[in-house]
This record gives sequence, C-alpha cells and structure tokens, in this order.
Amino acid sequence: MRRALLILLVTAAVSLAGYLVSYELATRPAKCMMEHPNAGMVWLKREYHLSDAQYARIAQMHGDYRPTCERMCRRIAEANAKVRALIDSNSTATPETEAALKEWALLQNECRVAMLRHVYAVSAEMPPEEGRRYIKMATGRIVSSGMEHATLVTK
Amino acid sequence: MPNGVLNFFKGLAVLGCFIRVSGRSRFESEQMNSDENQLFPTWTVKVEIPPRFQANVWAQIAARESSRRPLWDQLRDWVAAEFCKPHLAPALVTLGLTLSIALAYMQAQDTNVMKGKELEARYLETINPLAHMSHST
Repeated sequence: MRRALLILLVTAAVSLAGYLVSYELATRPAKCMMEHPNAGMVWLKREYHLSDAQYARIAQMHGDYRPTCERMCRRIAEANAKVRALIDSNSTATPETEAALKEWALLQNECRVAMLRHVYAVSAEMPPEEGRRYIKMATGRIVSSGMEHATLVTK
Repeated sequence: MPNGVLNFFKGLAVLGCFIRVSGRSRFESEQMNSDENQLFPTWTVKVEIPPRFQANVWAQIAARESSRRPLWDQLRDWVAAEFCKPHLAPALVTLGLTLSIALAYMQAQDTNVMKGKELEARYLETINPLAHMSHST
C-alpha cells in the first residue's frame, strides 16, 4: 500500500508540475503584452500579423492621431458637463438644453468620423484580409461605444 | 405336510445358505488382504496439480472474501495490488503528465482569449475618444 501511495504521489506531483509549467509557457506571451507600456499597439501588431515596417507606419499614424483624440476627449467632457448641468438645473426641456444636446450629438458624430478616418487609414497599411478584419472589429465598437456613451447622460 | 413342518425346513435351508456365504466371504477377504499387502510396497501416489493451482485457490478465497467486504476496502486493496506493479508506474506518470499538459493548454487558450479581448479593448480606448470618455467617467 505504501508503494502504491508513493507512486500516486509522484504521479500527482509530476502532473501538477507539468500543468503549471505548460500553463505558464502558454500564457507568457499574453502576460508580457499586458505588462507592456504600449500594450494596445503590441497587441495590434501580433493580432494582425504586421511586419515591422507596417507596424512602424501604423505607430506613426497612431502618434499623429493621438492629439486629435485627446482634443476630442476634452470637448466631449465639456459637452457632457454642460448637458448634465442643464438637465439638472431645469425641470423641462429648454431651448438651451436642446441646443446643448444637438451640439453634443454633433460632437459625437465628429468623433466617430475622425475615428473612422483613422481606422480606414490604418487598415490600408495592413494586408487586405487583415485590413478587412480590423475594420470589422474597430467599426463594430464605434457603434456600441456610442450606445454606451449615450446612456451616460441619463445616469 | 403341515405348514409348521414346511416352515421348519425352509428355515434350515436359509440358515445353511447364510453359513455357506459367510464362510466363503471370510476366506476371500483374507486372500485379498494378503494380495494387498504384497501390492502396497509397490504402490506410489501420482498426483498431478493443475497449473496455477495455488494461485487459483487464493484467488477464489480472495473473491469470496471480497464479496463480503466494504467497497472502500476492496478499492484500497485493488490500488495496493495494481499500483505496485513496476511496469505500471511509468505508464501512470506519463498518462498523468499528458492529461495535465492537455488541460493546461486548454485553460491557457481560454486565458489567452480573455487577455486578447482585454488588449483589444485597450487598443480601442486609445483610438476611440467616446470609449475613452466612458471609461474615465
């Protein structure tokens, strides 16, 4: 019985070690990407099988787009605050509130158009099949993120 | 002839037969005994035990005992008997290792898919001001 237990223990220990080592090896690339300061771009390169040259061009475009994106962020934050304040300070839909909501909707649309331009530009740098896949992924989120954002005002 | 006399003669006849038979059988048995005494020294017992006789006997005893014992005891004995076999240990370790590696890769796939989704969301945050705002609010 003692020998049988020893064999079982050795089997369990070897199996556990095999599991841990295999799991660590299989998940290491994803973990490394998560810890990278520029994780999103590293993921893009890996996911869409970009060459170094393609990645360099897309990273440059991403860098150029960043100020636009940040400026949009600030404007959206301001518009959100304005709409929130008008909704809270009135008990009916005033012309000011209506104008602020129109401005807010226009701004959202502007953001989507700017992002769509960037998405198309990035996809043009990718291999055709990967480019189509990238557009599908990125534009799908444009609509859904807009919907999520629309609910923010009602919160 | 009266019946009583007839019965008397019948009885005599039966008695005579009995004396004759018993005398002859005693004579014959004495003769047989002397023959057997001569044969005994030459007689040898030749017993052929069937193959794995002892193992089969123990197996039958074990089977009868096991049918009356609790399941846990039977399992423990089975483990003790089977897992001690030298050729089984490497096979068992190999099987355990193979299954654990397969399980690890399957679970790692799920983890990688989840991390991939997270990285995708991180990337989209960097290009989508609306998503960025929804996270920062």
